[in-house]
Amino acid sequence: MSATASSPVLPFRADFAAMAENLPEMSWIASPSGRIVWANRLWRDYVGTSQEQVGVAKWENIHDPAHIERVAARWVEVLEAGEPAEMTFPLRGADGVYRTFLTRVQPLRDETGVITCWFGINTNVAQLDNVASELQQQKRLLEILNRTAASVAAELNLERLVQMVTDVGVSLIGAQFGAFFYNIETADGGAYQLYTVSGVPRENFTKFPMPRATQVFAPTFHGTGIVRSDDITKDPRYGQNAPLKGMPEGHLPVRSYLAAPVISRSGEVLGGLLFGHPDPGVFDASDEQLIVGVAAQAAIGIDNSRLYERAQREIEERKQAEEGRLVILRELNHRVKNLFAIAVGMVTMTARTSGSIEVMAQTLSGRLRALAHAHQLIRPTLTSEDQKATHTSIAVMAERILAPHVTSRDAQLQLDGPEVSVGPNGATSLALVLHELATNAAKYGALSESKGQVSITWRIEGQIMVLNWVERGGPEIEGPPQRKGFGADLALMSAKGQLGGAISYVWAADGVEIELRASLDRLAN
Amino acid sequence: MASSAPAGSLKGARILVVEDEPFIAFDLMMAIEEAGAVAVGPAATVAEALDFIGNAPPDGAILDVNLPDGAVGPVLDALPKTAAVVVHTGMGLPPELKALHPLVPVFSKPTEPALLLRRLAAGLAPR
Repeated sequence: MSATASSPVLPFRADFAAMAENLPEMSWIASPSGRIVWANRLWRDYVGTSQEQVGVAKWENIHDPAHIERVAARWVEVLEAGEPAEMTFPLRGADGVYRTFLTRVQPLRDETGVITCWFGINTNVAQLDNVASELQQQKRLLEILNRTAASVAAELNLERLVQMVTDVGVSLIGAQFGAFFYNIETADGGAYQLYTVSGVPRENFTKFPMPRATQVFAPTFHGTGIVRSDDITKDPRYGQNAPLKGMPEGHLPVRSYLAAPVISRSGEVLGGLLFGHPDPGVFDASDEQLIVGVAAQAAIGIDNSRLYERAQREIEERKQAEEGRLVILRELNHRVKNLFAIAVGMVTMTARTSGSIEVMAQTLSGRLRALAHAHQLIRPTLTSEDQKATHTSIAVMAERILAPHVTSRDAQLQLDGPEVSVGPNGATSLALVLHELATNAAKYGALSESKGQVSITWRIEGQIMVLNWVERGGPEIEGPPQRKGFGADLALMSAKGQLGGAISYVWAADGVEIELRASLDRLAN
Repeated sequence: MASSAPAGSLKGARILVVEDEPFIAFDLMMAIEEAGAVAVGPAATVAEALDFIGNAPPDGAILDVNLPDGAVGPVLDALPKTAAVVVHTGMGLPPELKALHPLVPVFSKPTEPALLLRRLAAGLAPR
């Protein structure tokens, strides 16, 4: 073998020399001063040199400039120490690529202990290195995913959550941009709302229509699967849909494309995570797996956030309903107190103005009944949670109040007018006024005779309700009553003070004509 | 204090009734007249009450709080400092009015008119 020619230092037999030459590990022999004088075939093949060149090869040719100083210094140390040693450094291969080697050296000594040469082996650890850095990278990604899981679980605000997920996706797979489209179903069966973008300003998307469920987007938005493409513009699904046939003019340049649906526990497609890069072939299978993980976490987060929002809404609704009930209770309490106050005033006033106990009892019970009618009619308004739900009808109120005084409802009573909104206070005042008018009609007016008639009509004039009470068929009237009764004072004060209007009487011979005016605001109160 | 009213008595004193419930208002009016005072009103609204006060400031007043055109605050402000005042209310005096008029006696509805008048008479006494 040719090696023997240039290896005068080799003290080995030829068969050992052949073994060294054919060792399945890069090995070499250096002089006591550290210069390589012989290298085996594997070593020569890697470096790309011949046995003749080995002895004169320059370090600079095979060592990485970034490491050469460190390696030289270490080599000097080892030579001085004269002990077996290990070191790791890159060596340039014949292909120009530096690979990392673990180098182990061993001094050989003669009988007197003088080092005659160094024996070295270079073990390629580049692959181990790659595995280590791969593991490191995987560890880093897993950590990001874990952190994301924790953050997503803690985030209940949908917009922040979706942004977080998109940002994480972009950084995990090295995308240049990412977007999260949140599904909003429209009546015409398409259109998705742009929710959040990452890596580029939102304006990059806002000038385009929402993506439709085209062939490229359908798997994502219909939740049927992942789409990963090294170059989406070359994908058979790309550019199939009118009118744009591919990306619109001015769209971010997308070649590498990776998209995953975000699917709720319920199976509902919540949206789609889309990632892009202007270079082709950027996303690989492990990126796809990462995005599947991110999409799953996004789904959990969105489900959580929806549940939370629903729960919050329900709590809020219950709180409002409870407050509404408290308002009604307070209102009722106030009203009961007020009714007692009115009743007490009613008793003493009726006592003052009644000639006998019998008259007093009759008058008082009539007035109390009017109060009761008013309350009965406004009860739905008071107990309803929706304050505007029902309002007392004037027709119903008039009919109830006049009923005790007529023998034939159809022949004697005519009621006509529009619906008017009457609230609790308005109803009480109006009921008492109508009661006093009805009592008067029954005592002295049209309702004192069985053929007498009362026509009550009302209309709206701007912000005022005008009610006309016209009596006919009663005893002939000679003029205004001699003595104004308390009932008239009562009606006047209610009309003027409480209802913000007025009351006027025309004492026509064939029956009294009364006009009651009331502010709509006060009536509704 | 009002010159027309003898100390501690309501005789001849002009008492304003501010109350929108007619039965209560007229009951108070008559009770005032029976006590020998002059009943002024009844005023069912703040606006009416201010008119009465503007025409001739009364010596005393019985005031409801919630009136159809608002709370009685402006009436309290418009009454002469020397006037004896009682508040007769179903709901009590709202905190903001209570803060402005801490010494005004407040009676819960329904209170016997005689009791309100005794308190008014005490208010008319020299202080």
